Amino acid sequence: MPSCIRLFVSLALILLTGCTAPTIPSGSLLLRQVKEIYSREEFLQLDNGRRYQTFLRLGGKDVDIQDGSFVNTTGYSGPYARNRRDIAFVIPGLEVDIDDIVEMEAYATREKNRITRIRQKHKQPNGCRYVINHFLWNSYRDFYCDGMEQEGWKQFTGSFTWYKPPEGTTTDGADSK
Amino acid sequence: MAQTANDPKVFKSGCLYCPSGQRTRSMLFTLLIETVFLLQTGCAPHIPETEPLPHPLPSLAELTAIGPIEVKVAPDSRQETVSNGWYIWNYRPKSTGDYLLYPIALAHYIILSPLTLPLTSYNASSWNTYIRDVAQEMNLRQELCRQVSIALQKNTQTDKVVPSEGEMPTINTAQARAATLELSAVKLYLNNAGSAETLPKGQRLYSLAIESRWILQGTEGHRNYGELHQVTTRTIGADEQFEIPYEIYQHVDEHAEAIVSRFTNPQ
Repeated sequence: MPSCIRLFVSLALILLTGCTAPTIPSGSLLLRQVKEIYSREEFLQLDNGRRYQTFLRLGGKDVDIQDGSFVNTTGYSGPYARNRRDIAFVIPGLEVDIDDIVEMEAYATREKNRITRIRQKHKQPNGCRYVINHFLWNSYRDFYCDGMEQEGWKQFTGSFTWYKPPEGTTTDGADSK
Repeated sequence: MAQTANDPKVFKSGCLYCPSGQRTRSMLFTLLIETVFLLQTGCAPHIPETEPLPHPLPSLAELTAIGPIEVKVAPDSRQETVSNGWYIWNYRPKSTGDYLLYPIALAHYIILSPLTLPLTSYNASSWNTYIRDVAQEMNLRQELCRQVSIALQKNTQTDKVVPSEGEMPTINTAQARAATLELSAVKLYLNNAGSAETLPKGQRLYSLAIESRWILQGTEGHRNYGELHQVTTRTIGADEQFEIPYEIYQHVDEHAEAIVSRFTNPQ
């Protein structure tokens, strides 16, 4: 095969790979660490009220926003996501504290994120820790808890992010929507 | 008769990294292909213009004189999202330095395109996934219908509009409808290319567009009043993806107002 055609085919394949690049499905669980707990007033004022407005438009109810209902979390850190913080709604009944490691249902629309479970309380080791993976000159950090594989958690190819796809997701990184 | 490399019909193959003797023509060819790829990947999505009405729609007053208008999602409606763009094409030079840097930056990307293309296409792909997920999470179609209902209510009597999805149970839905406004398709565009021009807070510019198609159907005698096509655009400043859903909601409201204005101002 002439090498220019070979290059053409290679580029096309690379492009196709890029076009179908899998992503973590909406609604997957991620491990996060609580870094900030908002009072109701703080959340209402956050980003000039935009977060609150978006939460309401998504179907959230004002009455559900109490002190501690929203937290700021950190977790996966890699070349394109350094210490990114995401807000999340804490489902009623969970008492989260700063530095707790929690499971977060993650969505593209961040105001829809939900903390559903506390995985490890602050200063109470329960098999969770930060792990660092290296690829070329990049390092990728994410939380890992013992036994995650048995619970259906997967590690995302390329970014080393641990996630648990929602029910109904069949293939790695590709949702069945 | 077998063709030889000297035969002008035979294309001299090669690539960027071939031994020096084979380069000349093939390198240009390769660069041309790569440039086409870059343009394809990097071009911002084409946003259509609002189509004129084939014939005037009845006014809201005419319709509501007969009965309520129902706003709903058509059973076979389509929801599409597209996000594309690459900042290098949207670069807006302002200073002399910018003008000098632009061709250098462009040449750099084209020459390195075997490396940058996968990144670019991956980036475009992740933005496409992002915008698709946002549209699904916010139930874009239902949200648009709900906002059109609200906008119609502002322009008419409250009990003359029946929103979709049973949002307002107080309305007498048993009453005969004058018309049904059905959303048949919606497409959300996000030009993620932004601009090198940054806003004071370090945000980047994006453009957002919503295109929707509606069918206005008279329920009495199944009269088809016609199809309504609407496109609205909004320029937004954002420095993180999390700011985009809020802007989409704002734009949905603007789009709904634009739909209703077609009834009150048919031009």
